[in-house]
Amino acid sequence: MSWLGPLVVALHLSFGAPPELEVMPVFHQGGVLVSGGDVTAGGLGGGLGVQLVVDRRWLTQADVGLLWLMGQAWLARVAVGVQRDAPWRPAGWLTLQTLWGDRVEHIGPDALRPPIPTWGLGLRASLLRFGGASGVVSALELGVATDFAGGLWLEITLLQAGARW
Amino acid sequence: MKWVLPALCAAIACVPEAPAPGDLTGATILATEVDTAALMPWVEALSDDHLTDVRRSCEGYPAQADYPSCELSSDAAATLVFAELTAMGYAPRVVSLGSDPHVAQDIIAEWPGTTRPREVVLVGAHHDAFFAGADDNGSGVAALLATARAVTRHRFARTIRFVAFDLEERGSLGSTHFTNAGLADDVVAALVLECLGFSSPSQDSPAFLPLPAVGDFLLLVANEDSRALAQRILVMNQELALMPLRATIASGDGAFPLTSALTRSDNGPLWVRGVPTLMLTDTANFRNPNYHRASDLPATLDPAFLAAATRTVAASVALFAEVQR
Repeated sequence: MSWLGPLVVALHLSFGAPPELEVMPVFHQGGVLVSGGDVTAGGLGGGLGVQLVVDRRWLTQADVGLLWLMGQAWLARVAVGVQRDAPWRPAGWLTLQTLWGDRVEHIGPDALRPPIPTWGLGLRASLLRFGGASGVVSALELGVATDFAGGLWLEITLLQAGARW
Repeated sequence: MKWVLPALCAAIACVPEAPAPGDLTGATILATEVDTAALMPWVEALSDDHLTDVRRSCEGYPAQADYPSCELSSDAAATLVFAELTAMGYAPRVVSLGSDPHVAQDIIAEWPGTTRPREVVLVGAHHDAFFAGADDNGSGVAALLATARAVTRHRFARTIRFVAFDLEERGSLGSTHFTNAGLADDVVAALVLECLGFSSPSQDSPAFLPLPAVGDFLLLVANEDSRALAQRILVMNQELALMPLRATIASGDGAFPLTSALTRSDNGPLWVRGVPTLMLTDTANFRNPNYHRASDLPATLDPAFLAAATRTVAASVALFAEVQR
């Protein structure tokens, strides 16, 4: 999914001046629950990723994480978003995410297992998000997504922080 | 939008295939031969026994909502199971495991296999119950007895071991001692029968376990070790149309904090021991309002549902133990 960053840059370039780019490593901790469809999965945990900020407004992020409580599951996400360019920096995201690893599968009469991994496409809101010279910190981000098979992803990021370098 | 997931899946992921069920001839025969007329009389006899039996010690087990700890009995039911198995031609034995005041009296009977006798298919049901315990677990014990009777008309490649576990309602003590004693180490497939007699027009679903809205199905609860067993039964059911079936399958041994409800019957100790085990259930308290109540009486059961569930058990035993024809 590393094409997302260049895509944002390319779109920007097509409209004018060279963009102002900022790359930040980020860590996040929180929880995910996927339920209601043919898979129940998720847990609590955390992970690491990279955030790219273009012209202090446009965001892309890719991160991975490890979740516990229902075995171990790997979470991989990519997201594009937009933020307010101010110390209070709320952001909205469009996310594409996958869960690999332990899960509970619900199988019907066809005896077929659900696809691996579990996919989700959704939105995330980062309202308590603040930025400054040294980076960004965000608390209580809420996300919701669908797996297009009746399952709902509910996501809460307790804390996410990125350091400017 | 149904195409989105398959498209993504095709690009990166995979949809694992279900295993072939194998030869279904024996399963068809055993499902047909089960004496379903005997089921409700057994449930009624077990319930009568529980209601008049001496209560087990509830020392160390305080009563809670849905857990009437001092209303548990098992001795008379164990006697009935022992007598019925003996009458069928088995030579059952009682294995006393644990320590006072919670000694478990597990009843064990075997039908020896012919070509692979050291590979065992276990059929288990707990015989202890709160109050009358018609669904929980007179229904499971009745299905065990009916399957045991049907089995005696045939020879199987594998040995079939019937076990009426004691003290499931004390944290699966009977099956825990049983597995810790190594008595399941030769088991290649186990079916734990836990509440098989209740159907309902409505079905509750806990957050982690989405279930159909109508409680007319039997749930196969599996873990990684028993996933293939569950899939084989589902595929078999496509051919035999025994009853509506669904499966819930946990990763690993299934013993995770958020999925602990899946391990709370006699399948739990077997899972932890690495024994491929399925729990077959009507989902108990997620469907039955009489769960662990004095109202869990034979009249509340659905005899047709119990009969279909028992046919499914018998067919599954035939499938896994391999009928010799």
